[in-house]
Amino acid sequence: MIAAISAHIALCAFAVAVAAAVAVPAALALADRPSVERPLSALLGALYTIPSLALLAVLVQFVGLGNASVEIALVAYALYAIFRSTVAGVRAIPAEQREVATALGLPSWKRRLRVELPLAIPAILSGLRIATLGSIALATLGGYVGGSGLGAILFTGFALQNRAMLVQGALGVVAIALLAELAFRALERSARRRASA
Amino acid sequence: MTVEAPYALRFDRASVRFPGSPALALDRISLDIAAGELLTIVGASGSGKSTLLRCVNRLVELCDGRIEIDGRDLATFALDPFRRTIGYAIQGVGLFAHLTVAENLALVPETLGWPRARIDARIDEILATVRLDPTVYRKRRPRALSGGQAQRVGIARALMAYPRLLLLDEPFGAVDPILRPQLQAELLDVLRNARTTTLFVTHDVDEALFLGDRIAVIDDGRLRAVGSPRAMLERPPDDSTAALLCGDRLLHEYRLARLATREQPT
Repeated sequence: MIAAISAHIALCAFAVAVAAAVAVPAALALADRPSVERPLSALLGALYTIPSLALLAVLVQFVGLGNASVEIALVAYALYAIFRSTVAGVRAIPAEQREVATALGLPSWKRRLRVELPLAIPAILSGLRIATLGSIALATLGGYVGGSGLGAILFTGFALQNRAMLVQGALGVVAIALLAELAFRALERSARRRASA
Repeated sequence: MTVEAPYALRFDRASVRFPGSPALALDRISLDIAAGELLTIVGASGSGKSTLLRCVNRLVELCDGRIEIDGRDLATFALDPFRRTIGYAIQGVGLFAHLTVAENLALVPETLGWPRARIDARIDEILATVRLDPTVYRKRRPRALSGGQAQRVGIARALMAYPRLLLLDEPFGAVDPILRPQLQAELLDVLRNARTTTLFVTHDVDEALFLGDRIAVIDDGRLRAVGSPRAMLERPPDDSTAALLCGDRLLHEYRLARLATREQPT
């Protein structure tokens, strides 16, 4: 059980980390360029609306059974929430603060890293929370296509009609989700305090 | 360490039109500002005084005319490096909430590539200049500062990298009226020592008269009058300037008396 929980957390953490590494820089770079940001948001939004089982079924055709298909699906779903929340976070920074950063002559990379990114952290954490909770839920479906984690226990429980395995798997997913929710809420509160004047 | 000479400015029929607006926000402003001069720009809300200031660091672009810095067209300067030679402070202070006072002050010098020791020494020096104890305030975050302290830090940040030009947009606008005269006197003292060319926007006539080497009166996007505070008080060029600057007899006398305190040799 512990191994399944660890595998589930690793599956989700890796996917959210990869999605954040792509979505946060992209959103920081594009928040001021609506002509590029809007079509990209629409594309990620369309990806997000694909039913998860359908996406996994398609991925298995190309990548095969196992964790790789699950990870790709998790990353694809996480991108949207993180990208949108980062864009929203940057746009919510008071215009006065962004203007001062410009007026000080900070180069654009420094404006992004020293001013906009830290001030957008509460919104980014909110996006990470949504993406993480979504990944924890979605990763259970990974058990259907040979993925590891609590999904494997749940689907084995279904197949064997083993109530104990089903309950263990379900409770494990709920516990991870609750802990993630509490941890991200605490981080968000702390970040909001830090970023508020 | 060399501190570069302050800029001289020339506005030559500088005009601004905001997108979608039929009227000019600035209408053919022509004005010379000498190196080291402190020009206060006074006018009602919406008169265009802040727009005039924001044209200089190109937060607002001209639609016609030009601005010259030391005889060179402003439009030909590389934007970010030029902005680093200008100090800028605004009414809401604009300190970054997630950075400490020292980190806020260090932003421009870090970008300029100053060594850490020089930055630290300058932070201590500039905080002392604006009468904040560096040992107390260096590590404070903006939310732990009072309004007056935040304004001092805002001005300290503007002065931190020895700017060749200071743009101050109602920096005391949000300060307690009881504290304002003290901050004005302190600023005047700091600017006398810094000898930086300064454009100071305010809607407070007393502040404009007390601080400025000269005053420019802006109304409806146009430059109505420009001159020394004493000349403007004693011989206002027109009725509307007289009404704005002189007030009733009692106020006129008070303003002349306060001006005299500034004109006393220091």
